[in-house]
Amino acid sequence: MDGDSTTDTTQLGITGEYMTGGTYVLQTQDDDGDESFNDHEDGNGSKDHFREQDIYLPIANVARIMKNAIPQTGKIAKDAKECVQECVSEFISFITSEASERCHQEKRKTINGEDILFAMSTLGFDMYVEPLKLYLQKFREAMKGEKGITPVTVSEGLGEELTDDSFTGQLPAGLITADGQQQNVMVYTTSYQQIPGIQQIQFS
Amino acid sequence: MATTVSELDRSGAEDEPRSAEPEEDGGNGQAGPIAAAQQHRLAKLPLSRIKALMKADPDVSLASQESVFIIAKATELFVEMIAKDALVYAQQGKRKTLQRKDLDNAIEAIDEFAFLEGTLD
Repeated sequence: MDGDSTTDTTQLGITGEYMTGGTYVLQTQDDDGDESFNDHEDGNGSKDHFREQDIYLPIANVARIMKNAIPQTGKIAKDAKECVQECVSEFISFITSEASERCHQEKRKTINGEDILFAMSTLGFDMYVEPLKLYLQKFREAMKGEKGITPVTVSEGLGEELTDDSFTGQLPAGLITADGQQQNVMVYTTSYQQIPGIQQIQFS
Repeated sequence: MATTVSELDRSGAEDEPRSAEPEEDGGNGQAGPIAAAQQHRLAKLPLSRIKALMKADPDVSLASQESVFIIAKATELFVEMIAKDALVYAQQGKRKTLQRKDLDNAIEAIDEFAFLEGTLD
């Protein structure tokens, strides 16, 4: 099944699991801002520059979504599935292009969620905007969970990850001091970040 | 099964995101969260493929992972919408099978789908 070089996983820099499983395990590099993707280093860019009209979403996924819209007893002809597949690519390009224009107009480089929603509205898909906002919320919540377990090194992490989430650890409210007296002292220091797997720094 | 370059994986299953993947090594800082989004089953379509489509546009430089996700969901809504609209024509023809001509009719009839006219032969 592997006829062309684009399926060479080593060249694409992705692991074998990526190709087989339903989950996508790409090698992550946290040196980049995690908000955007860019095209600096397209190692095999010249070879694999596909035109928009050549890229399609997998027909099985498309067909499955179509089936949601029709009665259970209904069937879908193969050419109908292919037709929708093409329409989908066209749709994505259409929206992206509009969003990109707006982005440029506002002198921004990164297309964000708002740009897409605005493009939808402009292009007559206003009815999607509200449902999409809800999905966006779910997405953001799911991503918050993921961010929380991103490992950071001690030296770098202390500088960057000093959000409220980091301060999960506190000294107990009651301290026994040297003279045996229990005092209610709340000592709130930066050293007590309880980041899992990270060695805690004890400042004495 | 021989797939030519121009035929790029039309029949790919969902776990087969090959061919149209000009993925690069660098700049994949968000790959983890995007993979997570797929795992959480938030998106039914492969976000990486959608990203590839977006990047195929020369005017697009950067896009946030949020925007990729929103487009994925919008695409789902679009597919449902066009299928439902086409279904009307199938039912008019007393058919249970959705055919290509039903889609053609829907595209012609509905204003929002005007951008699709001329893309299909």
